Amino acid sequence: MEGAGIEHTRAHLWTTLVLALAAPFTAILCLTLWRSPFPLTETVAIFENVTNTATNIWIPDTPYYRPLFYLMVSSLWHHIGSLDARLAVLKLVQIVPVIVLIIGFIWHLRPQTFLEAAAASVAVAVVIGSPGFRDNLELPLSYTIVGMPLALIAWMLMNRQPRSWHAPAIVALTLIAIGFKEQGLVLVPLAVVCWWTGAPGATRGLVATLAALGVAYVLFRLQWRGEWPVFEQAIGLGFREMEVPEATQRFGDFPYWIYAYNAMSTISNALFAEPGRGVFRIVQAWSEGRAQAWQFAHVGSSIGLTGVMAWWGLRSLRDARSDGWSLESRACVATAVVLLACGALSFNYSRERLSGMAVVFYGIAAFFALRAAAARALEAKRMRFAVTGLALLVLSAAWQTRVLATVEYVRATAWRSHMEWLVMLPDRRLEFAERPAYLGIMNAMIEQGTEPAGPRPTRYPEWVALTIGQP
Amino acid sequence: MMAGPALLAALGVCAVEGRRMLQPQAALFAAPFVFSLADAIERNDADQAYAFIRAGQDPNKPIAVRHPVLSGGRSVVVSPIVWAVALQRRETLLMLLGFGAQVGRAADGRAVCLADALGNADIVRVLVLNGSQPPGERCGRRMPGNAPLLDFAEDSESSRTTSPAL
Repeated sequence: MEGAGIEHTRAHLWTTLVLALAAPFTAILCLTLWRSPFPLTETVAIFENVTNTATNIWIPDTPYYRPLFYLMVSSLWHHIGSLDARLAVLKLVQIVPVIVLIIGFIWHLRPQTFLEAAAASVAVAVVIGSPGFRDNLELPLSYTIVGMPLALIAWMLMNRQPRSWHAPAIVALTLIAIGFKEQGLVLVPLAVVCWWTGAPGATRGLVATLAALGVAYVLFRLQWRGEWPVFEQAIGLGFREMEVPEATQRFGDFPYWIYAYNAMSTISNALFAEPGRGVFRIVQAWSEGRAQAWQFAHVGSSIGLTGVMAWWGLRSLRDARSDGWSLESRACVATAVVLLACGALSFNYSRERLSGMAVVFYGIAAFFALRAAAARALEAKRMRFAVTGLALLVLSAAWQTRVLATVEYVRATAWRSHMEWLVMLPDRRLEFAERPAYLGIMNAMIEQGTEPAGPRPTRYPEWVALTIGQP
Repeated sequence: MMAGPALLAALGVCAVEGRRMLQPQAALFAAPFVFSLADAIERNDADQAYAFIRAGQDPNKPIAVRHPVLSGGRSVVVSPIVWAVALQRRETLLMLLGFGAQVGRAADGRAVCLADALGNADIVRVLVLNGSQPPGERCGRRMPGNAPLLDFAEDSESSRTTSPAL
């Protein structure tokens, strides 16, 4: 009994340590988001949309279908009186998921030893430094950042002994995630993986319900497929990006190869940090001799970590064959399946943010892989220990620079939004002269957009900026 | 070893943020100080230029400026819009237009002529879209050899030309 108590206290100690290491970045990210202005582009149109009572948010007659997001914004807009209060609540919708995700992630890993705490601290950096997380921090586009903690909670519940409320909760989490963005559909194959690998909370009834919901949703969406364009946004291919008209002209007759390329680009970006938006910008910079330190750090850290994960994944699958499924081997399969699902759902165009749902599982897998690698290093002989230790140190340092990059990215986004309000008003007044609702909302939001005390990018010395990749 | 970088990064970011709180105007956080609206426009710093407007400066009130090429080293008084056009500072021009600067005022009505004389079609387009007449015959011909801004200021606001240095 006493031994169990000591173990419990130790687990709390190491969990607290990792939380303490993650706290500065989480706090800075959240405070920066809180003080950031909403951008002029996107935001005003979204608010105008919810003021239009003729819009039926439940009919998926547009390429983008996010009914719960619009329901949430509409509810805020129509039930909260002051603009400041509406904007504050909308910011909280973006900030609270970040806090829940990071705290929930550490709580899920719950390190029991110093070695596990070290692996968990790098895994947290992997989550915060991943492009799939970073690209989903833009106000007010909370579609995926809401889904990410929901995916984590669903995963945690499916790996626990079932209780009567677990299955309804997981179904509700899935529906909310899908309602905010279709990437939430990844929870369906996740549940299938959990059931197949014997997760205690993934009961047959739950998986059948989620599968039926998933199929019904896809059939419902396909009812309006005739109204979808072949390409919704610009796509990247090789070393350049092409706009919709050119892409439609080149690939419109048979778009399936380019759809596969888009899907693979999203997966590859999550695993190797290249290509971004389908374009191999870093490879191009490197081949032209103008690659910067941060580009090496991003690609190198992603390749290094994915390599460690591949080693660990093969090992854990081998163990699963001999000893049965464990949380580790299940996490390995879940990461692969969720990543594939994210790729498939980004067939139309590839963006970093579209791998957001996979970031949670990539982070969990990173924890297990790094823990296994570090444990292996501790057992190795001196030379091998030194080499592996140094490699893990470099890997950890590279991921920490990516965390700093995320912090600076959020600052830079806030600055860009501020600049939009300063320089885009004349154009918008002309372009939207016939839309009084748009202009009314825009004019009401000028004050928040031009607030001088908003976040600014840190003016680091050039060598620091080049190392972290300041946007 | 893996925890070391995490600890260092956390400490580093705390140090930077602590300094940001204590010294928000330090070079690490704030843009170089500008002394006037004219100075901010010259640097194309729309943010600091806006700070003057926000603090109460009239965006239509002429400002004293001097430039070795554009005004031939002479100090002239022109409106902020004309100064932004002369320097071809698109962002600050748009900021001025967005926050009360009137392109249709007598002197600024000919800012489009200055933009045209400088060959900046984009700024001509911005001015025309925001209420200026397109450049044409009324712009006349530039006097050869004159600095563009001086030429413009002498045409439109020569009485306000000042001798004190900026």
